[in-house]
Amino acid sequence: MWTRKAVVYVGLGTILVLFAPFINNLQLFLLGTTILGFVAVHSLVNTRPIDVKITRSFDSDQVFENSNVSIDLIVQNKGRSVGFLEIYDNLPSEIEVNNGSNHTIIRLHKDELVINKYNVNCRLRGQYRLGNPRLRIYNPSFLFFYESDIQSKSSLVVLPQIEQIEGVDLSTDFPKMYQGALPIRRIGTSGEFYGIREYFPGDDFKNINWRVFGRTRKLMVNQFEREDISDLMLVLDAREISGTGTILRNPLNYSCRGAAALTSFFLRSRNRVGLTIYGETVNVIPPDTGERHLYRILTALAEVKAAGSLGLHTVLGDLRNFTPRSPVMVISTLESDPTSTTALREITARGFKLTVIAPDTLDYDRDSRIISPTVYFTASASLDNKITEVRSLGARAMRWNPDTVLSTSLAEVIR
Amino acid sequence: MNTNNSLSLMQAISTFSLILSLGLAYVINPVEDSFFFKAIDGIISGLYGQDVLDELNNSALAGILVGLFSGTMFVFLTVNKKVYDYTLISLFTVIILIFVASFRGYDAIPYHVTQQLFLWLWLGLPIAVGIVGIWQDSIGNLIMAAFLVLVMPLGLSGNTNDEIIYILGFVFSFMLFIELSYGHTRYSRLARVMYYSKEYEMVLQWFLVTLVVTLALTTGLTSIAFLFHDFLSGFLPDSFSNSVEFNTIYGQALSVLVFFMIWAVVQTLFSRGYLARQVED
Repeated sequence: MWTRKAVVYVGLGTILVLFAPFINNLQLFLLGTTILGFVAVHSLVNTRPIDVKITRSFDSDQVFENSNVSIDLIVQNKGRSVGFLEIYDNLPSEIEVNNGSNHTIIRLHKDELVINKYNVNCRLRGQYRLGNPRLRIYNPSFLFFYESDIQSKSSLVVLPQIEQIEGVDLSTDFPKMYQGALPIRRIGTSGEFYGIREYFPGDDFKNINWRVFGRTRKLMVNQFEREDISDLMLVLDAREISGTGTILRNPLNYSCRGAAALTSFFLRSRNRVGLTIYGETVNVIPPDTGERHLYRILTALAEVKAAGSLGLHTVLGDLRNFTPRSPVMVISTLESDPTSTTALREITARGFKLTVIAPDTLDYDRDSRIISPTVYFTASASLDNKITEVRSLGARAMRWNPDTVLSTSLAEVIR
Repeated sequence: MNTNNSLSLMQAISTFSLILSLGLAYVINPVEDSFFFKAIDGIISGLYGQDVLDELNNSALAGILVGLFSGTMFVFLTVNKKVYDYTLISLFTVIILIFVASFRGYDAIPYHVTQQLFLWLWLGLPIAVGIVGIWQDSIGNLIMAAFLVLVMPLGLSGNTNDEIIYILGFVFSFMLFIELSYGHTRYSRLARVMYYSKEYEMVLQWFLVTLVVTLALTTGLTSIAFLFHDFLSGFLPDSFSNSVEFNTIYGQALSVLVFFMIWAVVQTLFSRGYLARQVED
């Protein structure tokens, strides 16, 4: 294709060639001829079709939020030598290049292989599709160019960041004893060591740690983990309203991080964790345990998008199949959900141990001037009312400021 | 070689080409014959009632030097916004004072010195504007400088074939100035976007080499096209080759047209062969 410069050159050359004879000016005439000749000669330089193959490789195609991924863009020339090859690797806007560049200009000799390395920072969870790299060939004086897309798409899954929860007892009061006992990290009588404490009269002699006694001359007894199992259901609000805020800082993203942290915590304790996501549809992942299940939930959380306006009541049907009296954790601001009061009442009425975590980004939204102080005040008061209402049902509820550690916030409500 | 060195080299060669092209333009078209000079002379004569410009030194070389100095000064001054503003205000004040002094008949400032400086500055204006365009990557200035280089020395008396060497020199240096300055603007912008790499430096070197080769080829082609006129006159009947029309610039234009038509046919044939190879692939 012709560039603007080429069009200007041809126009100027033609004008000079036609105009110069009128003023008997050989200088301008030859200049016009040279300009036209220059364009003609350049139409032969670096304008023939090329045969370039581009592949992309990652050091990891599944990473956690705020992780760096190293990308190798392998450019292989299978055709003629190319003087000016501009390559732009199409990245989603959520992925930020932090080292190197996804935009490069190279010279490729025949059969040459060039690797363009760059690092990206995956700031936001999601399942991303890295698009086709775009090629542009210019001739040296920018008179002609040719653009094309090379078929080379790749997928990158960014899982929500997992915060380590420690020092919070979130387990159930109703452990299930008959579905295959698995150790959870509480004091019990299994073979798994938990810790040591001072000896009190009545303790079994066989639990005395004689090595410690030999060292310290104090009677200390070993404690062991208790073996039991509990089911836990996380309910995540993915309605359109949960995506309000900035791309990075909105209730949905923080809800996903919270859900990921809780899932990891409970699965580490060998509990069974399920996930229900509601928004546009209701998506249920039944309770299960193990590493594979963790990644199943994390992948589901990575794919969650803010859409729809289904109320909390839509998950009640699925909760009927869930083990009675088990913990249910709802992660939602409950904003603009007229069904939430009835739904929460029903959940508590069925005997589920309900905890509501409301990710609160209102302070940030106000400070960033996304919402006005009036809106902030109204929304904040509304959220407080909801929390009070939930607490009045006998459930645990908290406003979670995402700038604070989740376990710290949880510790305040679980006392 | 570092990318910055290559880019600076482009700027330096471009500046030199600009100076050379303006110098050669004034060699081809003497200052006294230039349309612009005559126009200014007419205006000033009408204003003062005497031939002011004829009494002054209208050396093109002095004009180029003044243009070079003023353009360079401007580039350096713009490094610091405050110094630039103060200098511009001072300069403007001095010019106004000179004019006021002249109209009030106060001769404290030697008026003919400033007139001489203004004339040289006028002659070297394309250089001053072009230097700013080259060193500050301003496309507008480059276009203006190119326009002034073409138009300012332009005379109404025309050229003869004896000046062909100077004309070809002018064409080569003018094209080099345009291509290098524009190339610098584009490549330096890309260099800012691009992460520095050895590959980019190779692209720059490829650009420089290809530019010089293609420009030499094009100028050579133009020379051949020009000589083709004499060659063609040998083939044509005497009644045609000795005609007044054939021996004017129109005849030369016709010869050049025929040459490029033949060249276009050859290129088309070559391209057809190339296309056929593509189909076979």
